[in-house]
Amino acid sequence: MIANSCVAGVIGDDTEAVAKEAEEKWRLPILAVPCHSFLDGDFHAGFYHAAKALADRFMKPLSRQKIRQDNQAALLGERGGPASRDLVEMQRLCRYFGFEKFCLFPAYASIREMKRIPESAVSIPLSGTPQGFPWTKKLASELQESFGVPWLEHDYPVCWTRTQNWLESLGDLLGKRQAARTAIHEQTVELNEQLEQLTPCLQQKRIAFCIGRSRLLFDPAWVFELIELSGVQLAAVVLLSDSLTPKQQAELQQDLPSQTTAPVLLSNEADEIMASVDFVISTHELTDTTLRQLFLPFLPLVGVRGLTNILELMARLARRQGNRGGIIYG
Amino acid sequence: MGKPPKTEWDNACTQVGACALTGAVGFFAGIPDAAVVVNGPLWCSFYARRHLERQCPSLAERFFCSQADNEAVVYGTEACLTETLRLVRTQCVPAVLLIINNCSVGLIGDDLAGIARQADLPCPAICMDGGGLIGGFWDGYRAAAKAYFSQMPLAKRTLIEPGSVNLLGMSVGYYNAENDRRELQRILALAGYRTLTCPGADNTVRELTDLSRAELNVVVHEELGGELARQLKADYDMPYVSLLPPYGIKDTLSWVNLIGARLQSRPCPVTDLLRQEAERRHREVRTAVADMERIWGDLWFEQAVVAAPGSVAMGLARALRREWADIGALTVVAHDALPAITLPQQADRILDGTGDSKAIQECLSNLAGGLLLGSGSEMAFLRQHRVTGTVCRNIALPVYDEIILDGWPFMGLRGATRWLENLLNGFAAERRKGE
Repeated sequence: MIANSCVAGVIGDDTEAVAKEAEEKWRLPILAVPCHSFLDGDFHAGFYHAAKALADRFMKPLSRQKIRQDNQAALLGERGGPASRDLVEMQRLCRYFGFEKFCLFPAYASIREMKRIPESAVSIPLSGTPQGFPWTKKLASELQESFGVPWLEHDYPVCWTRTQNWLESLGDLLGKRQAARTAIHEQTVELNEQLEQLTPCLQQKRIAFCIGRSRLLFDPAWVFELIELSGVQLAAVVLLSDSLTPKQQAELQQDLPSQTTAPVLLSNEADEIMASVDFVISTHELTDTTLRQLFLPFLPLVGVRGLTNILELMARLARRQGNRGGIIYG
Repeated sequence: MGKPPKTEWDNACTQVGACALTGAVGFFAGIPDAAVVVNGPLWCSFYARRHLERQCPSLAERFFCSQADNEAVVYGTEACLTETLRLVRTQCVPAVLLIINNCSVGLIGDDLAGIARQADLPCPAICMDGGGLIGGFWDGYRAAAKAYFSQMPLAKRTLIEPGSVNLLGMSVGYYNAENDRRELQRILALAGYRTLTCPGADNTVRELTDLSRAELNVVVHEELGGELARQLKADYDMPYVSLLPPYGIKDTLSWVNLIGARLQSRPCPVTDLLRQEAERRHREVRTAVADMERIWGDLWFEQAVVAAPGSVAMGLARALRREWADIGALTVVAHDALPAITLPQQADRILDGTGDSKAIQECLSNLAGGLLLGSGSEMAFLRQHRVTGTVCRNIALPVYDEIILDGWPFMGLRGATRWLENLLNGFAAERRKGE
């Protein structure tokens, strides 16, 4: 796979022709991605093009001898490798629907494993941002078109409402609504147990939620739900002026009041509130070392266990003794 | 998904090398009142910033990026760069500004100096191309130093301060560089010499104008400062001496002696103060070192690899074998290719980090039970290839698994004590694991 840098894009190299020529010479599959670093989109664009090139080259529609594997799901996207906590949680949720085998694509998959993707009963997008989801959807829908693999039109399960929705949608798609109901019931029990254990120390705590990412990169809905579930009191949403353009700030100022009743302030209006809160939840590391900060992961964590993980970190901050500030990374 | 995915994928490659853009930013990061604008995408600027920020925490406050996009590459970066320069004016008051193109923006040939002139900046702007097309970290640092001193005038060399030196080629882009700089200045002060400036590692623009008043330029890292020393010799007739950096007690005393030999005003540098400290340190550690060796065995490694920027690797290899440990076979890997200085006889094999990758991999593969002084890249290789029982110590960036907060240097007399401690503790820990 030849990935082009922006330099190759500026000088206009015909990398695909080079790949074709090299393939003939060396008799090895050599692919090129038709995009060039930041010139043709972001990470997700490149990821899609690489996946598309691999699918076009190595995947074949099911032959008559091959049957679709009801217990196999294709997970499209990248969440830190097969041993990451998000992938482990995703697979745990999928097992409610009888899935036992998982094909990752395009990362962390051998060519042999990629060839098995068309046998999957379903493909499930993993993206996690408003910016990335359209690309993952595009890949999933093209896999359906080319190989008949149905796909779940839902970004991955985040926080509690979206986890329930995700489970319901997957149940609907597979015709396994009872499995979805069982999953939701068991996850509700698990969540309630965790809330009972983790949230007592969070009650009555006042926090600020600092946002420095634009709407394209960050959907704050799951954080508002997390705040509500945790029992903390949201004193204010603070827009980090250093990290947002005036246009991005205006967009967020317009959107956020529909998601929270807390005041939405710009950083230069928030000094008093920031000094009075017990801790802050933030998309960016704040330079004030006296603040207790929970730094949100760029991609939200998956499922009830992802939610629990963040609640544990909030509880640690709430229980911190003395006036020690600092950042806990989510 | 086939088995075993976990073991198959957990060893993702972590080889990292910084490009010229990082090197150029590194030089200006070491000028506390300089600001930097990267004219390119966020990725390039974030990479440079992350590489340097731990060593230079103030960088974030004076570091900007134009966030050039596809449109900027087609129509020119004037709009986004002008907007960024406006932001610079509102957020800080630099004494000098570096505006540096990343590699692709460099290809489109925007008139950076012209855009900077129109921006009505409160300070001189130094404009240059950076990125991988120029080369690695070292190439960028050298180019930035050259550009700075070509554009920023120095005081005339009429008044020379006797017994004063500049330390050239130091950079916050080297691991633990700030602590090393302080130690070298301390050692020189003990010897009765004054350090006037360390360009690219400490001094403000105003302080740097006095650089030409020093009696002698001392090149600490030849790969960074050698070219600048020659430029200053040509432009200001400043004499210079290029030496391996001083690690270990013997090499530190020898380093000071060699500098003294070139300083005509004060040629007898090893003062009683310096000698007494060296002897005291030797005396203080002797019993503890002997005790550790009695328990865990003498500090012997069948194989050792020292991998770092050329001057660091050569200097540490010399002290390692002459002063701290017994080594069967010692290989030196110069990350930046081989420096143009006399190579120490202590190394059995010297490899070029930019070209001898196969030989380097062979060396590292055979390092079980040995010693590695290197960076996170070599250590990642050992993990990926399951080379075990190796005593590993960080001496070069990238470093992922260690921080130094207590101010201990690697160089000089204080550094010598620290290295003995470091090596013996690592040696004992590996022995204990093997029991």
